[in-house]
Amino acid sequence: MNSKTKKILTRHLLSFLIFGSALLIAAFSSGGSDSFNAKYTKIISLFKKSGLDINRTYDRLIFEDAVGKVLKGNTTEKENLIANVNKFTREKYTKKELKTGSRKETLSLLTLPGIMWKFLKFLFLFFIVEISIFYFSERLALIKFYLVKEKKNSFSGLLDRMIWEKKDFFIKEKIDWLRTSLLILGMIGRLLSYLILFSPVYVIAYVLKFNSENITFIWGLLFGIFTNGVLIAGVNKFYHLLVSESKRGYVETAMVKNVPFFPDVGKKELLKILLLKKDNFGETIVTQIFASARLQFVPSFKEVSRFVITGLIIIGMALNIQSGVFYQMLRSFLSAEYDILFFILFLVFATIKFIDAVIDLYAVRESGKYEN
Amino acid sequence: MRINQIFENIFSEHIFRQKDKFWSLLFLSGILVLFIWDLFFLNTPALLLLIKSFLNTFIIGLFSVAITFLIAWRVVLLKNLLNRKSLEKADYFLELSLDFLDSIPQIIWLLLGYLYAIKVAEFEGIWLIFFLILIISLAFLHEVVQEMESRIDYFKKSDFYNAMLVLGIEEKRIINNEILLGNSLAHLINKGVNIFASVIFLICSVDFIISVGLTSSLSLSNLPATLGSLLSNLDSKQDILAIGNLFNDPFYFTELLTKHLQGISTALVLIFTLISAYKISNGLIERKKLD
Repeated sequence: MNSKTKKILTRHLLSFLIFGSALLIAAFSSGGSDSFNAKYTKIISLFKKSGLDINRTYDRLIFEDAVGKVLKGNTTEKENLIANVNKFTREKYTKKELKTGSRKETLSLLTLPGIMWKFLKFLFLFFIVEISIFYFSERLALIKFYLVKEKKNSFSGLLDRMIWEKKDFFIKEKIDWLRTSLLILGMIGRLLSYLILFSPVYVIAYVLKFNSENITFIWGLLFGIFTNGVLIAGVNKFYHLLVSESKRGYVETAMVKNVPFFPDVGKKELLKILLLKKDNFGETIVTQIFASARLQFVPSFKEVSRFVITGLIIIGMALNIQSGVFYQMLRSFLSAEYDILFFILFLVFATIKFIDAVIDLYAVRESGKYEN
Repeated sequence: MRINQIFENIFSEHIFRQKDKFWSLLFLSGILVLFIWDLFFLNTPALLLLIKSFLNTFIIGLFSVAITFLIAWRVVLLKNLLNRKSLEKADYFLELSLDFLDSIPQIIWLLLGYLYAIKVAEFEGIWLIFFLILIISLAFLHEVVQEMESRIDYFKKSDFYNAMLVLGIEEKRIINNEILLGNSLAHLINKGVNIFASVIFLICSVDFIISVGLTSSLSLSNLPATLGSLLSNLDSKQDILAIGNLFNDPFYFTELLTKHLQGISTALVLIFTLISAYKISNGLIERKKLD
């Protein structure tokens, strides 16, 4: 293990130990705590000191009377105390979670397997979405890179000529109406795909008339990949890395030496190769650019991973998927089940730390290959 | 300057080639066109609510970005000071703390911050908004600190930095004036645009989650109206659901554009903001060669 790897591992382990154990301690020490009484500690202790019971109406009246006599001059303090007592009484009888029969879960051997099972289901979905986004980000960025390089065939190329050459365009060139119509259709398709890719999942789910009951695993997967702007963030990142790599000196040298940029095949075949072939596009410049861009993309994928998790959390919470772990997290905060809340937070933190460590170690190993 | 000259300048070839400026202009024009359209077809109370939600969302977003950058700038200077005074352990702990902030997804910070503000601390009015902005800023802090540090590290490796030190220029001044303001402004603006888009997306999502799922458990009257809470409104939901009718009747879009405007305008503003921010950021990268 070299010093760089050791440094990375130490940092992640230290962070995990300090903050992970803080979250775990918070989880196991806040179990069963009564947040309602904690909120009114001051007022309850005042009642206790006076030998009164805050839950009895008669005692509350005595307390009000006593406060009125003791704090004669201090009207604000007096009003505050009485207002707090009234608030305590009001909340005690109106708060949903304090009513008889309201179920309050705590972290125990009975509830733990349920939470872990929900989290495992989330992890399974997360890793499939993560891998899909990694793959699609690379391949779609590569295709975009190719299309931008061949700008003349795209709609923006046509638009450019129509705007800047204006009337000359219609005179000079014989317009191929079929191609132009296809390009315009392509533009509408592009607009629609932008609308979907950038839409928050809840907008798409409403359009497609989904509710919490009819969202299956497959839909969760599709929403996770194609909504909330997650995929576009990945594609954009990889595309800029490809552009940045294509400006390097070695690319110019290779071009001077007549090394082909893309495999020398037909357009359809090329798109198929760029989309499906593993990572070797023959003895072409794009093979090298792709490899170098991937080397830089992997470390930055940590950021994309956070987007993926955020997207899945939004799906779970906004679509009220009650069998999901994040819906339970939300409910646990509202029902003051802080032990469960901290435990789920710990699980999320541990997952992100694990991904960060794996990505960092992979990046060190890969860059080490090139350094040697 | 004559009016046609002004138009010529605005719509010159130059601006179409500068995609960041073009998309900024397109964004403002798009919002203006939508506003004029809504003025004709959307009822006044809904229009006022839409304007209020739009302004609230954008003001919170802008202030969050500004405060994130302000805190990040101070943190970067503090880290630099700790390094100079050889207090590596303090610097390491600061780095670990920032890393922790980054290791819990931003949406969770926001959600917990919102719930804490409404349910536990019971903040109201300007304090509530200030607290929310602070939480958002902390959630995005690490990202901005990393960006600033990467710029400083880049220049520290060059002769430029050492030459300035030799000339006796104070290190703080080199970082503030020469590196961050003088040579990294485009990078920072680009980061700012990206963070602004993320903040808008997250505020709306958190508001939506709270408004849809938790109205029975929480009183949301203290929360400022945002695009997210407006989208979760029953009328807006009906409007969005109506888009689905297009699958059966493609000509239904005329009804959509005149009778279902509250929800559609809200969703459109949100999505159009995200697309514009993406395009502005890409344009800036292209024009300023930030690759």
